[in-house]
Amino acid sequence: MTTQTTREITYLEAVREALVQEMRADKEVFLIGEDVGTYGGAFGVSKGMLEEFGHERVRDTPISEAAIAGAATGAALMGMRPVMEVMFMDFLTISTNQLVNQAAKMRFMFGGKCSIPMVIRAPSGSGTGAAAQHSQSLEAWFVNVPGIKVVAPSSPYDAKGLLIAAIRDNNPVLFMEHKLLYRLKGPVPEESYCIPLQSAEVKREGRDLTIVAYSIMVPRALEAAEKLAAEGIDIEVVDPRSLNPLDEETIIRSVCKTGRVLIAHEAPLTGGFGGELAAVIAESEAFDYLDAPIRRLGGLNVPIPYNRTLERAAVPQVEDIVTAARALAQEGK
Amino acid sequence: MTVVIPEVDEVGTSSSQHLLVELPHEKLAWMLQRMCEIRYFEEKAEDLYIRGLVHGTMHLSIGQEAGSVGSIATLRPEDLIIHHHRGHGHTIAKGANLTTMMAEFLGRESGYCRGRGGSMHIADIPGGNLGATGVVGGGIPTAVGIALALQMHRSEQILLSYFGDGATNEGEFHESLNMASTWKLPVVFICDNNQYGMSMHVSKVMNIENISTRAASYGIPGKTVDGNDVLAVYEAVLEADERARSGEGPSLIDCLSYRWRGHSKSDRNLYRTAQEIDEWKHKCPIRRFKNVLVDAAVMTTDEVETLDQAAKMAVDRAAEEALTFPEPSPENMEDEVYAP
Amino acid sequence: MATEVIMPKVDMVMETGTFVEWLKKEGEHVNKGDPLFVIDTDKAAIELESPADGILAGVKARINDVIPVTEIIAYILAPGEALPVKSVPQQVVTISAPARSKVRAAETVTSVSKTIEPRDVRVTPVARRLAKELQIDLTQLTGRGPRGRIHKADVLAFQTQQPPVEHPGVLTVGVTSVESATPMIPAITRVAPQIALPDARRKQVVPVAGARKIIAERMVHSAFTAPHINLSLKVDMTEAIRLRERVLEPLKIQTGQRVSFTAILARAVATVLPHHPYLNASLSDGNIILWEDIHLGIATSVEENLIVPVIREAQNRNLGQLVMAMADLTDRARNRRLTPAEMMGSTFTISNLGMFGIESFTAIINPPESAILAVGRMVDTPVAHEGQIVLRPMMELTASADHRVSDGATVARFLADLKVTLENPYLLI
Repeated sequence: MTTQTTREITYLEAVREALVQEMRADKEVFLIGEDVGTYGGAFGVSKGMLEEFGHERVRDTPISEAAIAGAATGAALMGMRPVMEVMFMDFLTISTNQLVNQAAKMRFMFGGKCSIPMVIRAPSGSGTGAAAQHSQSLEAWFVNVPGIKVVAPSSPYDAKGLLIAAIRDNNPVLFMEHKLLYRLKGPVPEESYCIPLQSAEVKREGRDLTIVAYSIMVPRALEAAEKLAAEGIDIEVVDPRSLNPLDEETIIRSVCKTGRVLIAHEAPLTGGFGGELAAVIAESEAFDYLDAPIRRLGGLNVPIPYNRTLERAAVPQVEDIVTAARALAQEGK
Repeated sequence: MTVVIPEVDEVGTSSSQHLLVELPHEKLAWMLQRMCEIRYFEEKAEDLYIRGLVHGTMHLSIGQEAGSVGSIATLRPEDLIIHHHRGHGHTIAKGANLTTMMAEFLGRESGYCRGRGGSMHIADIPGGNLGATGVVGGGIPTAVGIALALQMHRSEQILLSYFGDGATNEGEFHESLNMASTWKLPVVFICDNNQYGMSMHVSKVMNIENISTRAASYGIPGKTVDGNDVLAVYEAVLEADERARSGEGPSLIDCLSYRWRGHSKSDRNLYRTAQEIDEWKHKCPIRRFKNVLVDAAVMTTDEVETLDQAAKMAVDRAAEEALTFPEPSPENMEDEVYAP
Repeated sequence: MATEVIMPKVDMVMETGTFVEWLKKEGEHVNKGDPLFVIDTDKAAIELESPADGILAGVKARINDVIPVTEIIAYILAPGEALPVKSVPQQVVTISAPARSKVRAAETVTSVSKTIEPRDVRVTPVARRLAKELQIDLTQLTGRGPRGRIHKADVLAFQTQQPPVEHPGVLTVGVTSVESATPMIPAITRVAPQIALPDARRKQVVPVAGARKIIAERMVHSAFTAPHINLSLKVDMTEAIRLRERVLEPLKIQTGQRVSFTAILARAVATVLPHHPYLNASLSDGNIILWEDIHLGIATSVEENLIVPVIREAQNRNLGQLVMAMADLTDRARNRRLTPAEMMGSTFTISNLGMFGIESFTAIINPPESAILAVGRMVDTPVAHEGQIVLRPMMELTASADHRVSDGATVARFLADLKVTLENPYLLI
């Protein structure tokens, strides 16, 4: 019998622990990105890793996002398991040709005769006052590219288990790390463990309404649910954890149970992943259980503003979720 | 430094004539036969296309046979290449099976990529051909990663990364050459310079005479060679190979040549004159190499023509066979996108 | 061996090419790579090279022939070689150019004009499923959701109020109150069930549902709860006609639309109504709400159904803007493209039946409004003018108002104001 040692660590430490454990276990795994070595990563995720693994496996690069993505893609094609860090998710715009036209396509385009096992770690989201070019959530773009998987963990436990699963996956996996989650603390086992990529989790059970949320919206939805519990509204929170592949079954089962669903994400509402979730629900068995229209709560269709008040107003906050969930739960009652 | 490519009429010339003595006879024969196979393959591809037997478009490398053959002839069998949309030549030179390749061109299940890739994306991964990229310059950053993996595994293998003249104006070219140079990666960057990015002549899109001068920005050697002289290409690339293999890092070789055909099938040649095309046809790299071999008495005319005819027959047979292969089935296509 | 010269496929989507000219004569010697002929495609004219060395023979393609790709159009023969036998009787298949384009057009045009049936009741999916399971007729219910949407709770409430279904062999004891199941809003489905229907052959039975049902319920509600005052007067439209003629062309240039009399009326109503707030009001929960905004409903008939598209804040729109708004709304109303929001929330309605030749009529107030204006046809009428009898285009206006909100004098003042404005339309400026 193994003894499980679980302690409280931050999301950031959980990401680092996953990286360190995988790099110890598999010499093909390496970290590549701008300032990941001596500097320890822009957010400090790889702090201390250079000392253990050296410059070759904790590889500082020129400021060349296209070449970084290409370096990861090419190394993955050769059977290595690179983990590429892009400093901000926004900078993926410069890497996109390599990720979308190369990494995502090569397996299929070459007749299934190669695979690209790589991870793209992307600090995402707003709330840090970093304004329009350092705050985006671009998951919907990549979900629409067959060949790439997209994962967006919301807790330290999920971050570690999903990152290990992403590194071991034989495909390009975009791994979104919300910057505001880095300091979130939670119980994480010391041992290495995997969370399968296509497994949503019911983060809170409830009867009246389902909130489907991922990344930063999960803690916000949970907080909203506590507030509404005081009003007698019982909310279930489902976190898909991975957007592609998507565990549709867990979401549909929850909506069948509650009959009402609110979808929340930070990315702008128009063309956001919420539309896909809404369609999955509407096309499923859950349709016949719906007792109100499916509602979405997303970011405003604006670039993320700098000013704190404007920035807060641009993306759903706890109070927005409370208002939307309350109205939806009461509709027709 | 200006590279002047001579017209070939009666006498063949090569600036690397000494290789006729240094290289084994079989190697020279191999080079000529591959060049002929490329020419016949491209002509067959064109013929199949105008007969409506090909679904997509294609980019023919007629006139550029010396570049792909001369460079790949320098490689060891385990070495690797990554190339681009005008890639039939590299694929043949790297040793592709002509029938499997033709089957891919025709979109058949038994093609190299099971009909999923087509003319622009032929890859033969076990054969060390890591595939053609259709986005201009898109293969260059990937090449950095391949070379990085070779370096991290302390491999003796090297990689040839091919791209066109147009690709050297992409940002990815700059990022990649800088990164590869900084890390001294075992890669040789080869520019298949056919002088036109679709319709734009190099003189209209860059303010330098030779693309190889760009190497100076990365602190690596750069050389422009007569890309219609297969032996000159061989000599230049071999030197770059040695540098890459010994851990000194990449080089940039600019193979100056010319494409006889349009950019793709919809090209109306509005950007160049018939006279210009005609002039370049008189610089044919295959006729030139044949003349060089015969004039130096390395081969007789008969030997040369026997190799030529063997190439033609091989291509004809490949096409005939490939046309009988079954089409792929759309069933379960979505299951192939991700690796298990 | 003879080498075929074919109409080449030079483009991914090319199916035919138009032959332009031969650059060599039949019987002439050509070299492989020599320019041989020219074709025209959708994109451009292209020169094609000879596929072989030899003599051009068996030339079939002529100028302007439209030839399918891969069709043989000539041969290149080696010296002394004869034409292949199969080629001799074969004629080039040509398709005339106009016919080709016609075929293309026919292929691309597909019928998209499918009318969308309005859903008969607004109901959530689960309520619909539940009602089906419980065999409840959803038209019997009024939902508590937004705009009367029926939710699960409504179905369950209705079900608990129903008498148990009598199954054969099951005795029901006692009396169940049917009254309690009656919703508060008058339901058209239960109007006068006792009166025997005529003994006539039925042509069709049209369920009272959807828009018809909503109109029915609203009108019953209005007619039987709001005591209507109906007042009429006639307006001399001479000046209004003159105004319309004056602005017709400039506004057509400005808006692309012809100014209608309804638009001029709308402008007049929007100008006058702020001075008569009790006619732009709603009765709600024992209060009269006087509206600042004039959301003007324009009653429109669409396939036997009354639709009232709403021009919001009509008081802030000039004539040109009203013309444009009305053209857009009526057009989309007829095409069933209006959003529900655009058919709701009016504060005053104009109903014009003049185009049908109706000279005067009274309308029923469109709740929750408190007044409506019925507009008749302009009729040339002999009137006394400066001691003489002259013919004048007279139009009868009938205002109906909810007597709970306003009195006869209020309505009279409104109509008088409207008359002055229409007879002196320059006041609209």
